[in-house]
Amino acid sequence: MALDIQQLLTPMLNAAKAVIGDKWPGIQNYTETEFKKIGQNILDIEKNKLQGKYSEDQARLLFDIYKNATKAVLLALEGMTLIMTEQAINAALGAIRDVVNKAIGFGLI
Amino acid sequence: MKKLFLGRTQEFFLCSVVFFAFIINGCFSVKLIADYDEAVDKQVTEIYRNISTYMQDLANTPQVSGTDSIARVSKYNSVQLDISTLKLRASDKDKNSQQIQQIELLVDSWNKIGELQKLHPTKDMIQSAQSGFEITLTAILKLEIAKKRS
Repeated sequence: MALDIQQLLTPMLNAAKAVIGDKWPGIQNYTETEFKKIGQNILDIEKNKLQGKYSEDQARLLFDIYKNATKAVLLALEGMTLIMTEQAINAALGAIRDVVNKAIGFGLI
Repeated sequence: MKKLFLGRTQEFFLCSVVFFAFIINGCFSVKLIADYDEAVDKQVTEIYRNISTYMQDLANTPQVSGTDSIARVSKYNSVQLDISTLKLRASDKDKNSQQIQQIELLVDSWNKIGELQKLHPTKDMIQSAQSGFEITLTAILKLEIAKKRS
């Protein structure tokens, strides 16, 4: 059965959004662009396999390369989410410092 | 000059404030992921260039023999070595698990190219594979650049 791009793209994007949560707007463009490329290439592999242009083994190897690419993108998203979380935590800690200094009346910290 | 004597309660209060000030001060810089490494940035860019050159050559001349075949194997092994060197550098850092995993995926994909070459791939297949590598390498580079925290 031939796939269409939305059958691949929608679940991929929904899964990524669910994990990334409120940080999604910051990395949405990159995610959508890369997932579209991956989805389109997987469709091409499937089409060529069905048309007999790719053997089972060739299709499997190409599919594995795209599986790896998908995981690499998800790892990039995980890392970028961590960086954004880190920045939020450090900003909050910075605010605590300001409150403490204000309460004490001088720049203790 | 009047000497300042503090009562026990006042001493305790001052010590507590200083103690918590140092605790808060020590917590001021949370780090959840490794720092940016310019060397990794450059290495990934170089690997991207070498893989692209290799894949273009493979797409243009899928089958080679004799000295050309030896040269191709040598180039393949050279890229493999570059990726291993990159992994070594990435592994040397704390809080860098995402990048290490990305590089392991790159290792696996490069092994897959080695297997695909034995199956007489067409130009179309090579170009498809090349696109997959571009996505993986871009992901590695994207994360590295994000570590600049700008």
